[in-house]
Amino acid sequence: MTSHHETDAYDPTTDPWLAQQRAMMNDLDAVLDVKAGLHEVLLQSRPDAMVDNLDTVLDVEAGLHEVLSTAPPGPRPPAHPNTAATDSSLAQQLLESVGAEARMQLRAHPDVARSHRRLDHVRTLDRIVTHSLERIRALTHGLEDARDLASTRDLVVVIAHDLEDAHDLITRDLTRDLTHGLIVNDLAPSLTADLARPHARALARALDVAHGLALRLAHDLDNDRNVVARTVAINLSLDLDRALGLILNLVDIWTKGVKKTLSEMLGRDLSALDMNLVDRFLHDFTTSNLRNADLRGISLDGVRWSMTGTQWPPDVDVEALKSRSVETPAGSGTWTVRPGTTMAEEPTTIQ
Amino acid sequence: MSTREPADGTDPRAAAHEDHALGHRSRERLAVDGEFSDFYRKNIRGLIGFLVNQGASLTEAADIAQDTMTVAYRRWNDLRSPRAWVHTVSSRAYIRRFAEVREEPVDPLPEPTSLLRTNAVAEWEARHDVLEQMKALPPRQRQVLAWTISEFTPKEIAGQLGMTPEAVRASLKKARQAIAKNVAHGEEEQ
Repeated sequence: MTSHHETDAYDPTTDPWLAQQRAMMNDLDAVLDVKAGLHEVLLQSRPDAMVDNLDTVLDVEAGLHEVLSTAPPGPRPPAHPNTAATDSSLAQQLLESVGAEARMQLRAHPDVARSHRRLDHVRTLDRIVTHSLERIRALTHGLEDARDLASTRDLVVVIAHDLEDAHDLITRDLTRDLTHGLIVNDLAPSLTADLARPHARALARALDVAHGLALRLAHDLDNDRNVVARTVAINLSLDLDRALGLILNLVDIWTKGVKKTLSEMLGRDLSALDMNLVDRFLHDFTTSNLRNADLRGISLDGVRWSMTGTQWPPDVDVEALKSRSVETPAGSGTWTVRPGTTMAEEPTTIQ
Repeated sequence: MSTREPADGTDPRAAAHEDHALGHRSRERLAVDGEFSDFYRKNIRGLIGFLVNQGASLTEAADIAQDTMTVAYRRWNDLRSPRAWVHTVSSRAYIRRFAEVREEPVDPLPEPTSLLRTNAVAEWEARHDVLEQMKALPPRQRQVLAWTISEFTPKEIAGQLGMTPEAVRASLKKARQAIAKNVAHGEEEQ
């Protein structure tokens, strides 16, 4: 970064306001103990040194081999495992207190649907970016002495493609939001959308940069420039790390958006629900009685249902619904409706 | 296959090699500590001022700056432009915290960092009404002004904030006009 340059508009000799600014900065010495602060950060050096010494007593490769050969990768643990039981019972209470028909109607509310769709998209982005970051980190370590650069290069091309898809997804969402505002002449856009937009824009930029870096990385690997490639890969990791930070912000914002809308509609405080419980509230109909529900015009995207537990209205063709669903996990008897499945305005068919 | 001697469980050559490797790592760590310490001493004050100018309280600013410096220390060998990096990361952390606080205002206060002499904070904040003028600006103008005061160019700011350099200059101009107006208004009242 440069120092004195285009701050041409600022001249300390003529601008008393800037002089006040400088005085404020200098006066920070009165409240800061820089030595203590630095000591606080450097203290981390000690555990690291201790970790280095562990190398004398550990055989990391043998341990890693043992783990990899026995434990398949599982889903991420819940953020707060100790509260899982409480959360689960809270969700159960909520599911029981709001009828399944009402939950189906809530799904159809435009604000809920829009916020939740954004949340789904962001979770998809989370999966793509996390996966890409893990792969880039793994290959960065071996780049300098990689013997099979061709297969590494192919992997990078796949990552570039994933990142391009991720970029397209968030850009489409941004465009849709803006277009929606224009079409419905929405002069009072929601606080949630306002809050999310800068993060989404920053994320689009980060993913665009990541895509460019991945292409550059593939190019460097094509030309056997693996030392340069390592630097590019590190930059790509940092950029993806940044993207993940933005994604977490967006997950948080859209989860709050969905909860806020649901809370207003139900007249109840749902702030204690986490993202997974919000998801269950809107999608889990595996034990619901929907026999008297009017589902006409309602999107069933993402609805989870079961052959034995869900009771559908008589006009729903369960076999047709099954053909539009995916069994998750296979053999469980629980199905998830694929996107694009809406109940027809007239009964008996599924669009 | 192992090259270790079985008699006492250690091979002098292997042990010497490990000692050498550990010595090398210790020297590397000392070098990083030295470089980072210089960087920290030169930049921590400016970083806190930068965050305060964006609207953070002094306590928040010190906390975010210290967290950011901690991450910078961990990643020191990966950073190419540490000064730009700590400004970007801390700015983002502040915006994130700001967004969280707006919706959940009841979080407990974090343990203060030892960087800050907490007993002097209130007096310091009272001494600088220049902060009130910054806070009166719209967020975007305040952000652009904070980056400018920290001596980043419009082009660099444009890159950080996802704007064009022209838009940065326009925001800067508006911010200056607003502050000039505020200052004039303050002088009239006196």
